Amino acid sequence: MIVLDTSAAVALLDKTHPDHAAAVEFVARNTSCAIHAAAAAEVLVAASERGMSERVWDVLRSVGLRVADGHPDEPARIAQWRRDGDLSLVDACTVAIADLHEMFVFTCSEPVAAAARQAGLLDDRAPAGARI
Amino acid sequence: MPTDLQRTQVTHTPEVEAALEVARRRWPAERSTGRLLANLIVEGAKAIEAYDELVAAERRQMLEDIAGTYGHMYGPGYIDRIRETQ
Repeated sequence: MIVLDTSAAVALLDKTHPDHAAAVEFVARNTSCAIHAAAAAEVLVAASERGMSERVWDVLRSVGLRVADGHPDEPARIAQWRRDGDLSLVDACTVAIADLHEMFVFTCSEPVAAAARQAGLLDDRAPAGARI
Repeated sequence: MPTDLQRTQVTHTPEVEAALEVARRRWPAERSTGRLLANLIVEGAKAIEAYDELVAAERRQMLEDIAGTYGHMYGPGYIDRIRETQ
């Protein structure tokens, strides 16, 4: 199981994103990807502004994206990554859940890639990972 | 046949026997069960790779269609914009 962060999910949807092709290729070849609920919500803000958040979420679920399972230690681990990784709260959620479930992170964000690499959780096919 | 390569034992379960029957029809001149199994393994791997490639191609097209429909909602600075309002 692999966790996408907000940047990877946005790259997947945005044809103009420089990492769009890499994100499409990655998700095309990995039929089971997860995303933290907070990261999914960030992706869906744009759709929500147009009254389409449920439709876009259904479409993302149809390609195998699902909400990452929660974990009892999640709040404390999010706080730890927020502080130690110098990450946004939502990015800290992504790294924390990957950390707790020992899942790899697919990201196009260099700060997230740096944190995930530090924890040994970075999927090296990630565009940001390749740049670090 | 002597070899330095790793060998693997295969138990002839009903499923393996059924697969061997398929192999005998596919390679009727082959008498060696070991070579039939090796042929099945190689052809099986090729079939899996071809299937995975087909699935990936279908998913790639589906993802591009999704991006074509909904991608206009994003663009440079999207994440920074939504985080500024948090």
